[in-house]
Amino acid sequence: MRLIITALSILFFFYTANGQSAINKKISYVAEELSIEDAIIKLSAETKINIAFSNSILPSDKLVSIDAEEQTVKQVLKSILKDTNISSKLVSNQVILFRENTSQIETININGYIEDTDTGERLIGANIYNPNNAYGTDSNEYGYFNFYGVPNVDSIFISYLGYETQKFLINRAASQDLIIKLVPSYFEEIVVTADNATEDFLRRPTSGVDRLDQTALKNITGIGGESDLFQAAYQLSGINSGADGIGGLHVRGGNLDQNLIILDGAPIYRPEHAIGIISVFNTDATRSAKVYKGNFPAKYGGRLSSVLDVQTKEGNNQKYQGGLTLGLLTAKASLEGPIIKNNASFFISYRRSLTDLYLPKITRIVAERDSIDGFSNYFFHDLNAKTNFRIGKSDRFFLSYYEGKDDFFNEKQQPEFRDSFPNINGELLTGTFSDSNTESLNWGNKVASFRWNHLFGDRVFANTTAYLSKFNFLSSTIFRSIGEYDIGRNDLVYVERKFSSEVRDLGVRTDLEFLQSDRLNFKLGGGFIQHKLNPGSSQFGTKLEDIPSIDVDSLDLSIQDSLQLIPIYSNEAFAYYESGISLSRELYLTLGLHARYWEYEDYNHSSILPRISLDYQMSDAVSFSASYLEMIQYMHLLTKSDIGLPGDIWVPSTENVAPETARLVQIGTQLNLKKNLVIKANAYYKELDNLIEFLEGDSTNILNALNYESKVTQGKGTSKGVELDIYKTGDRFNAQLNYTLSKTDRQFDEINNGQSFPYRFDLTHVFRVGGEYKFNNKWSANINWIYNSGINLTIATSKYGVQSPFIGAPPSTSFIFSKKNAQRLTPNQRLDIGVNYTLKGEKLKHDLTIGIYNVYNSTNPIYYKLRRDPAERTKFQFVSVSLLPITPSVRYSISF
Amino acid sequence: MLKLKLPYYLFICMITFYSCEKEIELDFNDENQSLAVYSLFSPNDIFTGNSFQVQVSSTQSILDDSESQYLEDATVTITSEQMGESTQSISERLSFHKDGSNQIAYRTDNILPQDGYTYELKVEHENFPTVIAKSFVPAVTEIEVELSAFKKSKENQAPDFTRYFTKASIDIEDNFNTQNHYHLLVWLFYPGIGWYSVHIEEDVLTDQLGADATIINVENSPVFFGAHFNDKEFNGQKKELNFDIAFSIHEEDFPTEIKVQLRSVSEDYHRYFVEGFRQSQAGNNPFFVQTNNISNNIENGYGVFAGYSSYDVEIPFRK
Repeated sequence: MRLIITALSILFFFYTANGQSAINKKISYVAEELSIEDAIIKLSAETKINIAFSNSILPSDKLVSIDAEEQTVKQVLKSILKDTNISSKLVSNQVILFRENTSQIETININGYIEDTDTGERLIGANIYNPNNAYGTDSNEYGYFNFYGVPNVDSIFISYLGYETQKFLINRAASQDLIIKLVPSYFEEIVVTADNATEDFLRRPTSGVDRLDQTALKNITGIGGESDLFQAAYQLSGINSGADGIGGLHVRGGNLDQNLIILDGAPIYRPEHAIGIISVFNTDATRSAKVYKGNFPAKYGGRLSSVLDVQTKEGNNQKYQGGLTLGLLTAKASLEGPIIKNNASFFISYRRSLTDLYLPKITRIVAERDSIDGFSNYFFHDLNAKTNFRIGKSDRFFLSYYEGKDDFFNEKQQPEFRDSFPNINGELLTGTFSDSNTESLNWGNKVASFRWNHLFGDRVFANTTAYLSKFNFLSSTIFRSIGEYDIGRNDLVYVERKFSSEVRDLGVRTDLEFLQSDRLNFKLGGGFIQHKLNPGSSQFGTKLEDIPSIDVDSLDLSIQDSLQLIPIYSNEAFAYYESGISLSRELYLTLGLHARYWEYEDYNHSSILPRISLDYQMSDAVSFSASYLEMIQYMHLLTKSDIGLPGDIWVPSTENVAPETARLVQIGTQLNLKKNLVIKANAYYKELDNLIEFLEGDSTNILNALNYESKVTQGKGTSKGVELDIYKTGDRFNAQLNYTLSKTDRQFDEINNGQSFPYRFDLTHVFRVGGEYKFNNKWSANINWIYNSGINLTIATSKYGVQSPFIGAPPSTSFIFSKKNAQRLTPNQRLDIGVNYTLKGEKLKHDLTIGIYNVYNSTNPIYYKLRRDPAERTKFQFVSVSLLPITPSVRYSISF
Repeated sequence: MLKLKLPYYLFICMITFYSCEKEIELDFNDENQSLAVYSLFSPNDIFTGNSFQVQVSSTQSILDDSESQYLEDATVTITSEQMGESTQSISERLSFHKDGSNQIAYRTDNILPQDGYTYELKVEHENFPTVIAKSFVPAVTEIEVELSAFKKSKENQAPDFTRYFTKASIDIEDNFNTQNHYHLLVWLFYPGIGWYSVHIEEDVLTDQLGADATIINVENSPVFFGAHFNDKEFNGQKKELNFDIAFSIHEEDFPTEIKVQLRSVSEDYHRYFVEGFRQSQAGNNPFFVQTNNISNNIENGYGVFAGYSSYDVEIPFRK
């Protein structure tokens, strides 16, 4: 069967208007006794609309006569195709004609990989579709696709964001294990994309799923010029930082620990550096990331609120590439290239902060202003390394490694002061005193994963992953207080404390994808994880009185190696099944089940969790979706502050602490309007049960995983909201607007007298608007503005004193706090701007980004605190504390 | 107790060097002040003897840096009523006493705390809403105490100090099938000075008392010390506790007695101290820690009015 794809490429070249608007344009059209094929070609020529079709599906003996005035192109096309079983669909600015019923037609099977033609990198989520009907598929996270049961065609189309859409001619004798290479677009793509109209062609569930493209990250003005994955995620509706860009991800009212963060198949337990301003994901090493805030595929489990699945670069298997990046905050270097051309490659990237170059000097100067001798230092680094190699056509192996580390050090020597203290007989002794503190914090993640892709025949794709993920935290503090009394007595208080915490996961999983037909696919898999939790604490404290010497170094006060690390182990297993079914051209159903089993000592728990979603494509422009899912979480993060400090401890579900659960229902709609305008609206309702919180005020006690149960209480929460995302894309100008209206609350019997209270990060309104304009091939500019409601805080409003029964003891003060989280901080707002300059030479590419973070220096409060009124020292006053003022942003990259 | 706040230093460091502070006006109601009372009563309180003693102060705005105001001109009344009997209640207005600079309280002269009675406290003051609280003296729970011979050590001690160790074994006769709350304390008596609390071994007791126990060893705390627990794990049964008692004594001091005391306390007492302890540990910066209010049984006011009974075992001590 001969296939003609009428590309009308010249017309297509000149075609710049939006397809949607073009087919709704009113025209006059006359055809007299023309075959359908000729009538379509005439229509295409007159309207300059690209119409793709196979003439084999057109009736050759049918003639049409049309005399239309002031009718839309769509109406005219409908008239031409009247009384045929041919339908049309607008895809990527072209109209595709296809036969509605293909069940009786011979089919073939096409599978293979989609790659970047320059680098050989596999492309995730590329769309592969049949121009003759409305069905297609997309490549998985390894770039693999299996397009089964394709009606006998000579070509398929492949499109991918940032790449030229390609028609691929099929040789039926060799339609297996294809390598299809896509050519990158000249222009980079938009900042952050929701799965857009092109992908909707596939009618896959997209509600609650967003992709963060690597190129997108470069167009966000990060702090100090650092592009960051989390900052990109914050551009999406329903995803917020803790407070003014710090504190990690909070998705749809979920806690910090309810996000499943995955790096090359392995979970990461602490995905932030510092206090959450920067994530551990070096964007130079990041290939793509997908965020699920609902509609989780059945393969994901173990967390309640979101999944962030990050894939790192595989390495160019064609040629060597590298780059250096220097910003105000970090310096980065990366190198990649083939080990065996086409078959094996490597990628390595290193990022280090530059804070240690200037922080000690600055902090010493600031300390000296307060007559304190001391300084602070902070440093972090990230190392990503990856290699992959193919063995034959059916097997591919990946080995990934990530290591990140944070170091913080603070030393402080207070100036000497005079004071008096009573001795045991109540006599006041006067002397000279001095205090000193030394503190250090070290933490980091180490993640190694090994993955094996294998093709079983032409229908089954398998991936097996084995991984090790480890998070370590160690803090140390030494306090010395020396008192030299006038009567000749010397006292020394010396306290040294160490605290250690560790989480280690060993996991293995296998995922299988089966392609039954172009309308049915299913996935199944399972895995096992062993968790090792190793928190512990040790304290050495002593008070020495009336000692002959205060030479601390001469005293044997060193802390013993007595960290009481008592590891505990728990096991988690899971299995899942998911089926995607095209019920009709309009309806796509996804049914999934995720089963999970947990074992800790004598306690075990199992659950079966449904995942259901239904997508309805009402027309080319309008689609609806609805989904319901349940999640369970057996590992919990006990956080003292909700802002995700590294000392927070992961603890297991036990007989006394039930696993957290969530039920989420969401509905959504997507409108693909004229002029590349996409509007997405979602509404969701989430119920959370068995949430874990510290008992009120119990968060400061040293914890370990053995006694935490008595320190916590469990309760429930709800989160509901409406999300609106508007995207406008174009050749030069891209813009987006996001708005979230939400309400999240918590209820614990033992907190706030059992009354419901707002979640700390319940942000009622979040409004973001951003845009990017490309002046030419070299210059572009971006702008982002955010406004959101303030977070909630509990503050003390009154106090009262209680006298001690002991003679001479001071009164104790008790504080009276407002209701839990009753004080809402003032709203945050911030404007970031940036300009990008790109210069591509024959061998080198230069990128320069200059921007300003928080342009109008909005003082966004992250908390309120009490301080003594500088003007009237006998009074206190509340002050709002804000962290990130107007900050310049500079980043220069050079790559080859 | 030293708090683990090291992880916050990173944050504090950034705040210190990069943050800015701006004065704000918060609209919260701190003008309507209330009365705060503090009264623990027992037939044989180690400090107050066998009378009621009630401290009365007023709450003050968090913005007010002045010292707590203890009120001397309040009208404080205790009314007692025998449980289960239709006898007439007896009321007594408490008289104000001020012993030195630190012991300020209203005291009863006639009504004395005893088991089997309920007591209502009423405090009136022209500037504050009247507060009322009710409590009782729980029944005594007896204990048996055995201490091993004391051992001495000068290791890791200052030259003039000696550390003494003993192993304590305590049997608690929890004879009731209702939930009881207990407060276990160990005291050391210094002649001419008074009783001083001794730290209790936290980990060992927690293991034996179960998850709900709260061991409070707040160094230099004027209020919080001892082990607070309930009988959830051993309701109606005999409970044996084994732990070490250790303390350091200066060479010039000669304590003469150790007292192991088991207080049977009301739930109000228990919650006030456990939650007060938590608050004292949390500090007052709610951004870093989960803060809490302290439960109180004072209607229209704050504080605690709670009875307890105690069973004391006193053991002579000689260096």
